[in-house]
Amino acid sequence: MVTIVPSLIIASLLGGAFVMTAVAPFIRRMTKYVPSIVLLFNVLISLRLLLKSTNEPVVEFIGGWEPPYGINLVAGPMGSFLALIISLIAFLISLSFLKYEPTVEEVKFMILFMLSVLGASGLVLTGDIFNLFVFLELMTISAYALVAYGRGGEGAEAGFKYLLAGSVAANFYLISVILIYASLGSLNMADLVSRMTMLKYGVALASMLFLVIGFATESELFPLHGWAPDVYTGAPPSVAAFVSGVLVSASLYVLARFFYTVFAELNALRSEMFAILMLLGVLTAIFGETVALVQRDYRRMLGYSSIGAAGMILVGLVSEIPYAFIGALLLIVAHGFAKVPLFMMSKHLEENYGTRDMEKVKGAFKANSKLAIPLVAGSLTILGMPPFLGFWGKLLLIYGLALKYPIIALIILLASIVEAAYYLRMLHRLVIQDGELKKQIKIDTVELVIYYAFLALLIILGILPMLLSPYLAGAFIELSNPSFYIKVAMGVMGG
Amino acid sequence: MSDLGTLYYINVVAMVVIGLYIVLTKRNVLKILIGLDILGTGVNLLIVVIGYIEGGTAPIYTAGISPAKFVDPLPQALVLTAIVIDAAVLAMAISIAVRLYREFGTLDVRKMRLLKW
Repeated sequence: MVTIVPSLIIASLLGGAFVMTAVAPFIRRMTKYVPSIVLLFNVLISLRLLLKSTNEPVVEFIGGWEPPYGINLVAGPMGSFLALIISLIAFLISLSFLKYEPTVEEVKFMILFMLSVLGASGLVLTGDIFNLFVFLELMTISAYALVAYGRGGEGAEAGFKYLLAGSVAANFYLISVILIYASLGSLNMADLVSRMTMLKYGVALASMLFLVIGFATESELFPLHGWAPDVYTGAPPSVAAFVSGVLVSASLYVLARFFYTVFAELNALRSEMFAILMLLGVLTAIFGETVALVQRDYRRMLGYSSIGAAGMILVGLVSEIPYAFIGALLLIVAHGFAKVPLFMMSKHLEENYGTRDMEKVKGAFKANSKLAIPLVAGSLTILGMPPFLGFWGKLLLIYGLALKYPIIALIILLASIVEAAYYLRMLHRLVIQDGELKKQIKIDTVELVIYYAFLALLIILGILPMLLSPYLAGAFIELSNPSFYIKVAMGVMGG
Repeated sequence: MSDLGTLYYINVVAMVVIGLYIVLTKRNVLKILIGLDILGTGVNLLIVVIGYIEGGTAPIYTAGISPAKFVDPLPQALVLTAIVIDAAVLAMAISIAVRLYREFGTLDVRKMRLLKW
């Protein structure tokens, strides 16, 4: 039997993108199937990696160079869990390409989409900090172009803003990498853990700060979130969904990985940084949810809600409390699965009514129950209502935080209530209220399949969250226990 | 640390600060991109400088040269990657700038107000 290795995920996406470029001039109509096929393959690969991750996690040394010299891809519980979520979200988004009769522009769009997924998957799997930078750039450069596909000036403007914020952030991260390498002479995460104690205080502080600034920008944390609302407004709906559900989660993962694993030995500094990140997370949650309250534009509201959610997820990730951490991971899944259909639905508003202003499209979905059901379900997931997965995420997050930081738990709870207020108002406007608009919206079957697939996933996982629990617990063990990660990454466990 | 090395580090800091300043304050898209490039070049210079050894040579075993004089080859590999990435970012940025000009008829970011700056 062929062994399943993490680089298959990267190779298949890269291969798919190359094949599409090569065959597009001859059989352009067939290219639209490539992303879905490749991403379905990736879903299966990452599922297999995840199933193995708790007993015998797969680690791969690229080119046969053993760490600390070579690059390794580590499919531990955390990495393969996120890789599975990324592949799944990307696969379902890629189904929307099937309705294209692809033009040259759309073929390029699909290629860029695959490259961006490649960057995000690599980001969560790699065990090398410079390789992480390369994947980060791959992910974001493709995303800038994808965002700039948005209509008219809005798209170009959002893409340009994202590019400025993103590349300054990436340069900051690169400075952090170089500071670490110059002092310690290694780039391998597992190898760096034991060397970290040799780092001088000033260098350690500087590299942590550059890292935090860089990735706080990438993961839209207040006050470095400036690009995010514009990207969510200006980008094509599927790209906005992708940025919110995938790119931000992958960036949040990097923050967690560095402070749990790489900096594990620098205890004093690390706990100060956890406090700073916690504060950033709380501020982001408060800021995102309150600003979302005053938005009239459907997508801008969802955008600020994404910022708020990123803050909540970060608080859970850096809390070092098992329940809150697992809650945050569940929120990554629930938020990603719910935001994709919500963002994609803005397309129907734009195409049918020419505006996203919720005051002007009252009752837009009232006569369209096929669209109203996933809209309501997605909103309820984000609010944390049972039987959807978001319920468990919010419950565990707030319960876990309440054990150690009751005040922060209270703030997150209040932010959730504000969230409920504007989501319910949105639902009232679009689904319940009577408006002049009673138009029957034309919907593609493919789009309905996407919406209902996410809905089904949210309900199945919401009723049976225990399906995920061994891997979530594994992810917490992997992060809270650096020696476990080192064993995995050095190939001592499994093969 | 030799004087020359210190000079390089000062240069790195200056380039990063100048680049950031330009990105944050200038209002013309192309000037902002020049700032971004200066910032990126400063970071690349930092990568080169950390591998620098006074009087060092290429890390190839040659009779008569002690391995202590070898420069670290890894930063050079890293900087090549970083330069390529910088070039890609700039190419992308300039193509977006072309689109901005087509859409707005100007390169002044103050006049691009479809979204809030």
